[in-house]
Amino acid sequence: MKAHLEQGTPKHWRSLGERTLTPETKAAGWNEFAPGSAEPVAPPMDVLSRRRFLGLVGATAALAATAACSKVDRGFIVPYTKRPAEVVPGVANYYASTFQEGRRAYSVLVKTREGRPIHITGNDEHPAYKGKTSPRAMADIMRLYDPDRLRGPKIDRKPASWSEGDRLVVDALRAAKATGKAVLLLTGAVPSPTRRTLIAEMKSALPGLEHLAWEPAAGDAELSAARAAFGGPAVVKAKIGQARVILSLGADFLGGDDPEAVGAFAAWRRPRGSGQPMNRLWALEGPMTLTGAKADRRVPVKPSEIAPLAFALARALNDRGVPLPGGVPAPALPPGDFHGTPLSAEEWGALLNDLGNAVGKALVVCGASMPPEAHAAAHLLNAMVGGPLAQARPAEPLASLKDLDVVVRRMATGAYETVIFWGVNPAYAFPAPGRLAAALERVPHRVWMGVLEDETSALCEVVLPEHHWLEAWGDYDDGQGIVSLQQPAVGPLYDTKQGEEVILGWLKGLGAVPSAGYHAYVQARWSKEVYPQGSPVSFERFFEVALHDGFVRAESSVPAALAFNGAAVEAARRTPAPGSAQGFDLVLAPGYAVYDGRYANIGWLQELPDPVTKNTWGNPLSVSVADAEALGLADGDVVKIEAGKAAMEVPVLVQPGQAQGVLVLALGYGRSTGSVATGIGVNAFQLMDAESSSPNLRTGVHLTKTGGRRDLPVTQAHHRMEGRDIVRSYTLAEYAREAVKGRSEEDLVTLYDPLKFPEHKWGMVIDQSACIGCSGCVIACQSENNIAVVGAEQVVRGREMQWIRIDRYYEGDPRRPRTVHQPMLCQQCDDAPCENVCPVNATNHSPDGLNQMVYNRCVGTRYCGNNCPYKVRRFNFFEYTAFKKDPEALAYNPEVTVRPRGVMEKCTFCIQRIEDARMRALGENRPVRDGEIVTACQAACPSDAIVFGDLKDPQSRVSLLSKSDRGYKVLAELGVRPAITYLANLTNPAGEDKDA
Amino acid sequence: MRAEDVAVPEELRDAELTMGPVTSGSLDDQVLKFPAKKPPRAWYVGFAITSSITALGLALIGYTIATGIGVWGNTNPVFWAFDIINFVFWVGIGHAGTLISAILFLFRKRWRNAIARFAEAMTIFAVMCAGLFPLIHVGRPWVAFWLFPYPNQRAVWPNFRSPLLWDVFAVSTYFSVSLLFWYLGLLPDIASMRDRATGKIRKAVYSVLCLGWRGANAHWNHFEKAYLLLAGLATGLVLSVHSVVSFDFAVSLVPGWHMTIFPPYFVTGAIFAGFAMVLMVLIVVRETMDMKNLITSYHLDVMSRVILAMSCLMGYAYAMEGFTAWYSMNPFLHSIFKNYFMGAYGWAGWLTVACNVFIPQLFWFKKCRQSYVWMIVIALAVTVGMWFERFVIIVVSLHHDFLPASWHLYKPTLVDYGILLGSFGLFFTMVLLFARVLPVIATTEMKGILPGAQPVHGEKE
Amino acid sequence: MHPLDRAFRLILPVGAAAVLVTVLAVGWFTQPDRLVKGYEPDQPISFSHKLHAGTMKVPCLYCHVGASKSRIAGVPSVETCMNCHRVTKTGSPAIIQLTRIYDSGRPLLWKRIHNLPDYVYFDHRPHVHAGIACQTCHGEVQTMDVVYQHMSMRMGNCLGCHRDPRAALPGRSPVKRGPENCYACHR
Repeated sequence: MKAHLEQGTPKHWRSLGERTLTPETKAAGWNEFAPGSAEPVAPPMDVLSRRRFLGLVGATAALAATAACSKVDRGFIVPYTKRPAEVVPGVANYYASTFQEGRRAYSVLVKTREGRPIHITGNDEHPAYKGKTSPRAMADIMRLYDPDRLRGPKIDRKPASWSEGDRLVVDALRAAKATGKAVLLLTGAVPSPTRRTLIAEMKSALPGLEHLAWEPAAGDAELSAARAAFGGPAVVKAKIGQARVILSLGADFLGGDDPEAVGAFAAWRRPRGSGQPMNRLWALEGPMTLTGAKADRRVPVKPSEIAPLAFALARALNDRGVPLPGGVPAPALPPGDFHGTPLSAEEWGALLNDLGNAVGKALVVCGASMPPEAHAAAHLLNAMVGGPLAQARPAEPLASLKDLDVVVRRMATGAYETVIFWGVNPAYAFPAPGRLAAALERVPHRVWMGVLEDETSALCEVVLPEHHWLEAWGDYDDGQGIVSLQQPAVGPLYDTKQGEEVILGWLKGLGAVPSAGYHAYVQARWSKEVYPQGSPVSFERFFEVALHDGFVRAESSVPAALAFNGAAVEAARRTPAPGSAQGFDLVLAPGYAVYDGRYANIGWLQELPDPVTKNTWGNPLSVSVADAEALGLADGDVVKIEAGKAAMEVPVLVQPGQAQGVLVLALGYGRSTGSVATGIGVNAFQLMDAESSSPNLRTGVHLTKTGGRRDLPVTQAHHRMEGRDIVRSYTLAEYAREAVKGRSEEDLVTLYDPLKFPEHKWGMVIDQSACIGCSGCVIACQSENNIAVVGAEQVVRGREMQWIRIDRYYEGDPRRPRTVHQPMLCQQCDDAPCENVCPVNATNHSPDGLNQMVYNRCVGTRYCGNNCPYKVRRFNFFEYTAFKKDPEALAYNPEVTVRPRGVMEKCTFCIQRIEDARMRALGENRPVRDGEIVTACQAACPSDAIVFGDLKDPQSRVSLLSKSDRGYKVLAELGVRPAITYLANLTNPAGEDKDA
Repeated sequence: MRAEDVAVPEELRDAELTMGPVTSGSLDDQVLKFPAKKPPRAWYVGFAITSSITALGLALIGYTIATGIGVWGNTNPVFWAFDIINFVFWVGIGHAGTLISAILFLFRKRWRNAIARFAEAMTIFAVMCAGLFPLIHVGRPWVAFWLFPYPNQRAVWPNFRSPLLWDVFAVSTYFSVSLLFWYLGLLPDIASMRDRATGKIRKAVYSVLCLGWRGANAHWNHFEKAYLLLAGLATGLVLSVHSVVSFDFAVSLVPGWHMTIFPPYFVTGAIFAGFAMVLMVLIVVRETMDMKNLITSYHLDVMSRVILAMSCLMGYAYAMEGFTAWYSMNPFLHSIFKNYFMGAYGWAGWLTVACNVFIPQLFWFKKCRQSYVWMIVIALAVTVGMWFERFVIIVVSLHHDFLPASWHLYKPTLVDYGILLGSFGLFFTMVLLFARVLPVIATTEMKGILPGAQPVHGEKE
Repeated sequence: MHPLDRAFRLILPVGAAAVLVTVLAVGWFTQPDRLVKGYEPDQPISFSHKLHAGTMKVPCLYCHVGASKSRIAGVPSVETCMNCHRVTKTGSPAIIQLTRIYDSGRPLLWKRIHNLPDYVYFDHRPHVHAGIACQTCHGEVQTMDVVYQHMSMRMGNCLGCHRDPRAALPGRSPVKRGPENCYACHR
């Protein structure tokens, strides 16, 4: 790190040129009025002008430097030569686009400044996501500016031109076509109808083509079970919002990457006043997930025990008179009692009651990493109690690991003439990379297409750099009647091409009809299939509107629901439970932040604390409390984990609430390429069983202590509230009994006159009952406020920089704890303790109730940090921005100072957004409207737990909420008068209804 | 009749402040000879060691300023650690000097004359070490001058409500007054050095330094007045400075800092630590510079008694602090005090109490007040104990504050230790230089208490 | 009296005087006003505000559009110049040069004159809306052939006006004073 710190970077930056640190632009960098800064990536869609621009600035700056005048030279102002109509320097533009991850496509808004994307939020017009998106979608902007990105094609690891690359591929494909040998196209899921059409076209042009759509972390069991239960590839769309009782069988639908589910769930969790209903969430799960943390009743259950339990449940329900679906003979099910299940009689009864009383309004959700029979049981239960809430619809078929394994074996026999990897990384995610590499030896032509070089590209001869999605066109069909559109928000940064464009080129080479690029191709398909024929508006207009909105409704495209095939149950029942008594169940779940490893090179995500373990930078093995005691393991102890032939050493993390006999290891770490990702954590894919039908779940796993130790970079070291009144939590019954009395700070005596706020008094309300702890706010804040990434060893020291953190507390027995989340950020106290101790007035109070932090005045005594009872102030112990490489700095928000070494920083309530709104209101001679100012965390919160606004306006949403009887201030007894009101957490556990 | 004839019981007699025959002349020869003559090898060895340690410390400070505070162990929530511990520690050490030279002067404690000069010198060096830390501990030392109120076009002033600002004033005042006081006392001695000096350069230097002191009656008049006034000023400072330093903590709301008992408790601790340090150094001086006849075992005995008294006061302060914490019924305070002795740093709490309260109790025994070994052992214990007391107050209080989620352990780095060591190096380098070039005993004041110097009561004709 | 004493009597006053002089000298040489005011670099194209803004009375906002829409006033794009100069004064060498740049699509690098530190987030909008004349800060631009810096634009300048804006504001303006809190300019 020292090396980094020695190289000087500008403490603050305004113009991008300055941040990019190329000497020539340094001279031009002192550009306050930003036009010059616009040039590097603008005007859109024209990479050449940018190049020429840099060259020119270099030359002229050099000249200017030689002809130095007596006064200090201040560089240049570089206006547009031809200003794009929509660009006003200093004003942000928003473009609707779509971000795809596996089968899911998020409709997003891309905030751009002077033509460069700087921030991603959800598309607020999207009916399902309602302006929310996943943390990974927001963070993926860093992949656009990733310094490791390929800057041009390579052939045999040597830079080459596109024409060379294309020629090589086309010749190979021609050869294959001539000889009739097989060609393999391996991609990720293809939810894009147009891309599907393209691939189909490719098939017809190249009969020997085999297309495999493979998602390493998708969870094969879910696919196979769905196939069995509905007679074909299908997805079950769970209507969380309509369910009064939800039973989660190891599912993590509140994992934060499904804003729709979170929003629908949270809508039930914030009753305005007592008497209003809440839904009830049951969680039977082995790992501790966010869903389990939010559950009203949670029972730790080994994944291998879930299926029998669920079947018994079905039988018991049937005994209570809930009819079984056709084709399921009751005797096929085990006796419906709780003996042999981890549930107590009371729990079993309560669960049966809840499901039995909510037929048609109950929902059973099964986790992707659960075994197939568990899924079958879930489908059965849904068929009994779920009905319309869990409709299965046909979906694009995905290849399972088994399928890939078969292909690899055939590959080893030399069956393939050519393989094309498009946006997938099997060399990393295939459990037996050695075997894959050997098999690839037998393939004459290996083509790779993607954004960041990876383990697979290293094995390929032709490496073709693809556009980042922010530079490319595309469309996605969510199967629920919404087709969303992806448009470029920035011109290509490098000599890259859109993947589809490349394939179109190949098709031309194969003699197919040429197309005028993928943009035209998309439009052509849309005009045929999406554009409602005979509509009054012209297609051009229709497409423009679609571009503006980011999506169109196409209900007609929704396939009919599939019927449940009872026979599947019989089969599932007959398969013996995989759990061999000895050894652990090992759950291999996608990494919360890095998913299947595709985001492993993004520092923001690596440093995003896992919402449950609070661990950053790596994947320790989660061990249950009981097992840890039995094996004498403590956090950081290194263990050897053996699953079949595979074995690896990994530090453990003792996880309260995890079922005994269950181990959890996150996928997506242990990458061997990428300057950020390399060597972080271990590659859990190698513990998968390629032959198994549920590779994400290994049974009979063994654990041995090695005696090694590693400090875990966790951001929270203590997990109990120690009886302090920090997070208030009530059951619905207590709440109904008016047991809730929020302590207001009015009853605190003060010697000082109350502060006066002439215009506004900004405040916030955080509803802990709605908050699920997903940490989307953390990433949004990081992106909005230019927050630095500090790296593992700094996190170990406790120096992470995120302005908002989610405190997660466990209460009660560590084996079965209750969990609460508390977003903690600067409380903007009226009597802020940090303010009166700052010797230089660098932090003080603003007339609109903000606790202002002025970086350029800060000397760095850190006294404010000591005196902050919430410990939300962050200190720049080093020049953390010195790590930045060209062009990462382009992702910076030009409205926020980049903090230098030695100054304190903290949440500002997004002052830049407040000021901008105030200025616009001023210009239009009107007051700032309620809801006009939305902080980054609020915008990102999928459960709408955060509300910001003016407390002086009695009608504003925030002042109304702050008067809620659930409201209280954290540490109010200190008399610091925080501006944030927390609403007490509410739970709705079964059995409560009686003792109420 | 003569005083001697009156049968005064031994224990009521004033102790002899000198041993053996000491005349003004012999005194001058004995004390003023050192600067004149070449020091022994031991001095060079010692100087080499201390100065190289100082160099190490300075190098590490340079490294810190070049790289960032991050090279220290400080973290969130423990934003202050060794930096402020050392600051408080050194300011404390200084206090003994001022107490001896000023307060005991006003109380006309004649035994202080022999050790006042040295103690004062140590005050100044200690405050120099202390002053170093507030400067280097800030994130951006190059703008540290913003702490001083000076008119600027920004129309931005420092925050006068901040205890750190009070520190700036308190410590700088303390340093300047102590320096003046010390220098004033030195004038007559420097003058006599000038008169004795043979080398041309020496003569030049001393003549400039003594500000043209000629020992005229008027000079003595002004001297005595000024000395008395400065003594008065310094007396106030002894109490004020460490009170202000304690405000850094008492004024904040961190549990374990927010305590009304802090000011007196800090002052006591300061005098306590200071006396221990003075005692240690005096013993060395007494031996190496054969001053046994001027710094008698009586001096050491008195100092030991003071340390004992202070130690008891410290014990009371700790007890009181604990009682207040318990009585407050404040859960945060309760858990902090549990932490002091049962937390991750419990050992530090016990070490503090052992070194500051229990070990010094040995001074109840005359044997311990007489033997170098015991005195040095106890003095060392006190020094260590007082450093760890600040460690407990600062680090332990910070690492477990209000929200359990933000609790975090603190681990110092090698740089932390290096800079701490360096500050000791700096201190002792200064002491050695002082012993080399200036009279370590105020001859003028000593002459005042030589036998026969004062008119004896009841003397005839 | 000892000769060295006499020498010493000299040293004190002389030394004090020397220190004082040094401080004052350094202070004067490094004062920002000296360094920034009157900065008047040569521009790539000899554009005269005197002609355009003065003689021909082209309103400032015609070219510096950003001032009312954005935090940043900005420098007009070359296209803006061409709005007129496609037809007017096409013969003059400067315009020929301009046209060449425009046709080539190359950027035109004006020398920056007014510069604020990176941590200052000055917003033109409220000042323009309040009716403050551009000249208040930028000087009598309409009289300058080559623009130079008229005000040093330090925090003192901002505060002075924010505390008593009457001089800058048009008569009968509702505005009494500008904000003085940190977040008004610093973030």
